[in-house]
Amino acid sequence: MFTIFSMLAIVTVGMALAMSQFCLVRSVLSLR
Amino acid sequence: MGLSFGIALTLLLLARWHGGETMPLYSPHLSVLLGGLVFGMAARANGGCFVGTINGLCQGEARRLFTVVGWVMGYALLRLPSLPAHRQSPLEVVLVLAALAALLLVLNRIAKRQQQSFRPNPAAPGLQGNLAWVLMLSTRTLVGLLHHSGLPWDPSSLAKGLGASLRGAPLRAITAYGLIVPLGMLVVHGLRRDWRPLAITPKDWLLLPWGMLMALGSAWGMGANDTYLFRYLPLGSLHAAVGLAAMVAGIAINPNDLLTGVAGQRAATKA
Repeated sequence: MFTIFSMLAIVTVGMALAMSQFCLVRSVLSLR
Repeated sequence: MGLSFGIALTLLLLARWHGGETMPLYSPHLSVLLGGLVFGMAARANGGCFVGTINGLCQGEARRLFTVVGWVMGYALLRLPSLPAHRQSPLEVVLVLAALAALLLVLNRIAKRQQQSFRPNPAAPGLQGNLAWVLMLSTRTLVGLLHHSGLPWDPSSLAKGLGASLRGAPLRAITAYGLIVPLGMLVVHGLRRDWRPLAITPKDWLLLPWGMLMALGSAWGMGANDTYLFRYLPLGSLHAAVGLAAMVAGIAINPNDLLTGVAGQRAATKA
């Protein structure tokens, strides 16, 4: 059960990172 | 910053409920400063950090494979330096929490003055309002819980595992957890149908040495942007604050400008 929940949590985090277009380089360069 | 703040809050609650964190912290060191700078400059030349590169690959940018191979080769050729580690106290976590909260308040005040709405990622202007809040709150809680579980889920862990196996270390099955984040990204890009397949060009091989330099910077700095923001900063590790600042400075420096500058100086000297 722990493994399934962990995997679902990681998939959700991956989805959130893709939706937010998370990238430190792009964030820093767009702030300049 | 919001993500790190939320993860720190989740970890603080878990520490109260579950008996505290057990992961090591590191003190700032010159190698961390150098590693952050090298990583930042290489990541800019590469066109993305660890997360951004994996996201680009999941969107169809095949040339990102060169960067990923560069990471694995970099980690295979380098060994992590052994900085002195220490266990953090609950006070350190509270300090980080307070510092992140203060920074967020300052940024919020600046945004209010400039009448800007809440946008967690300036590179994604469409992400704002309720969607932005839901994404940030859910991600930080889940990352906090995942961090507490100790699973190697972050994008750089798989490259580290593969690099270590090339050096002869046994490849553990748990390393496969690093494949699940790209799976989530593929789901999003599949649902959005926002693929942008790019054919590989001959000059794309240059991403390989930049990828290796990213691995080198991450090894010297005892972490990279994903591990700093999602793991060490929320834990109260000062090395992450120093490394992240150096990384941001490195990103602000364009390595191509430096190379052009050197070439220009040589030409001027010859003339």
